[in-house]
Amino acid sequence: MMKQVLVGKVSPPTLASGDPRGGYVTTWDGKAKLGLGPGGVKYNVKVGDPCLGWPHTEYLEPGVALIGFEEGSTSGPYTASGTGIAFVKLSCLGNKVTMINGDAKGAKGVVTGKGGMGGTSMHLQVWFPYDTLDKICTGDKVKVVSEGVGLEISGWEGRIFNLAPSLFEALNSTLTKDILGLPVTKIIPIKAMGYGVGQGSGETGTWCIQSNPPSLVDEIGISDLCFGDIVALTDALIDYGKGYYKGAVTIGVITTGGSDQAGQGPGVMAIATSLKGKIKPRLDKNANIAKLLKLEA
Amino acid sequence: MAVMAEVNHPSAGRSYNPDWEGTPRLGIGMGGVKYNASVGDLTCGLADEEHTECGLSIQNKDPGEAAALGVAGCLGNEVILMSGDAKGSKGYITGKHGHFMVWFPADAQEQVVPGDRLKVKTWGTGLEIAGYENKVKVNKIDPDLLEKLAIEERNGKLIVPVAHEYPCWIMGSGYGMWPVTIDYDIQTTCPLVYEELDLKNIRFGDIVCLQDQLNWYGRGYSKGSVTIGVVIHGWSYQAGHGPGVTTILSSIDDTIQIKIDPSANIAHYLGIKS
Repeated sequence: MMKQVLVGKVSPPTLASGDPRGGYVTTWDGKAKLGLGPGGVKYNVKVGDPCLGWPHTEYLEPGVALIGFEEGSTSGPYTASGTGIAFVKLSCLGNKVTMINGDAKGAKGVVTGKGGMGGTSMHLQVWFPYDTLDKICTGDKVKVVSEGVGLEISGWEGRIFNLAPSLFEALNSTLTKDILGLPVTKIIPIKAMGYGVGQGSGETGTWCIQSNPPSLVDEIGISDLCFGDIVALTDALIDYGKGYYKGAVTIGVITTGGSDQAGQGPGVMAIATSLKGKIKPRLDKNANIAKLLKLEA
Repeated sequence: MAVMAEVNHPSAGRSYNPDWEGTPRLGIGMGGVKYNASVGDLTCGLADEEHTECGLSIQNKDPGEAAALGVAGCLGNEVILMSGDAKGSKGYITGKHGHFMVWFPADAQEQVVPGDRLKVKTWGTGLEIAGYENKVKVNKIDPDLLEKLAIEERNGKLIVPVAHEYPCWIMGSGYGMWPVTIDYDIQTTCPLVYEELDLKNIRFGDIVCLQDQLNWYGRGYSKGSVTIGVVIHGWSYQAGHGPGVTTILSSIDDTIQIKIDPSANIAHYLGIKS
């Protein structure tokens, strides 16, 4: 498997609405909402924390958000060139990250997620120790050591995405006959899946678990869902695209926060998918990548 | 209100796109003038088809003018050709994808070329049904066409004839987006449910019902809500995609009820096809 260096920079904070004049999004029940949360450096939101309930947020990203760039490019941050797309597609959960300039030069972190909605699908989310966050500025350059693209499990019919080999080892997976067993905190039915369907292959973007109306949150039991939780999606396939497929199972990680926009909510980034249902999720309340990566509080 | 538009040209990328299984496909059908895909026809069956837009496709190149057409244009609005050999011919809007799709009589359609200018007599934005304002929202339909849908009012319910009924979980790309400017797809990438949901018999223009779906300020799951829409583009082989639905009516509860009628198609209601 190829191991190589990618370089990006710390993304500025953005709003969920792409409209430069209004800047508000419309909630499922017809209210205007500011929608902060994508991009930037968060002091008090980290992987492992609850992903719902943060005021005025939409698609909240925990920790430090990164974006790929090309030196001298005149394109905006969300019209990423080939290098920007490669930065996201080639990065994997658990990849090691190092600040390469600025006051935090030398600080070490780890990739914990990718963004989902619109321009934030070009984002990587990274955990850094709390005492380094104060030294990190938007625009600082960051090195990611990419490793994991192309990971396969011999004897298993399915695909693996977005996982550093070391994190795959930490998952304590099992292979019984041809069934891959993986730990999850929740099993989500297909009727709860929303925005993101139809949008691109497993290496980029997420598929939302709808977090509105409030009755749905109760119905599917996601009020205590956390950033970094590993979840199972039933009858869902994230492979060359994202869509319904009867009997398929996808395992993913929660990378972005809740939404009050109709059909939207926490984003699930795929780590394993099987068209023929060759995955058996096992419920484990500790199935969160913050714990698996041993990230200190 | 008059809004101008232009017949567009088909466009293409520079490579194959993988279908849901990873097989490279060419995928043609968006944009331009189609001679053999019309409202009322089946949405699948053409070689290398992908999101086929029936009839002809129109848009504006200027982003502001494109947005104006997107918000003001409604299904059933009258369209008049203002240039070209078929100048003066009249047709109707039959769908809203990124582009709008338009039907013209066959003899006029033969003469249309990309670049011809059209005038859309937009009418319908803001439409409400008196007495149902708090229960049912109306979207992107000309008042005259809405009148022709044979909707019955009975005991505070609106009974809508539909050709097909679908569960919420089959809805795909476009989910979570804004009903005013974009459709969302009935997924046709899972062969295991082709028969169960009769997916090969969807026609351009079919009126369909989407259960547990609310299309008010956005679109998403809402238990017990009912949405009615019109099928506006063709099949897809990309994961999560399929025939698109422009939503026209949505009730937060069971105020909208349905009766199955295989002839519930806007081609029939507009007098285009019997």
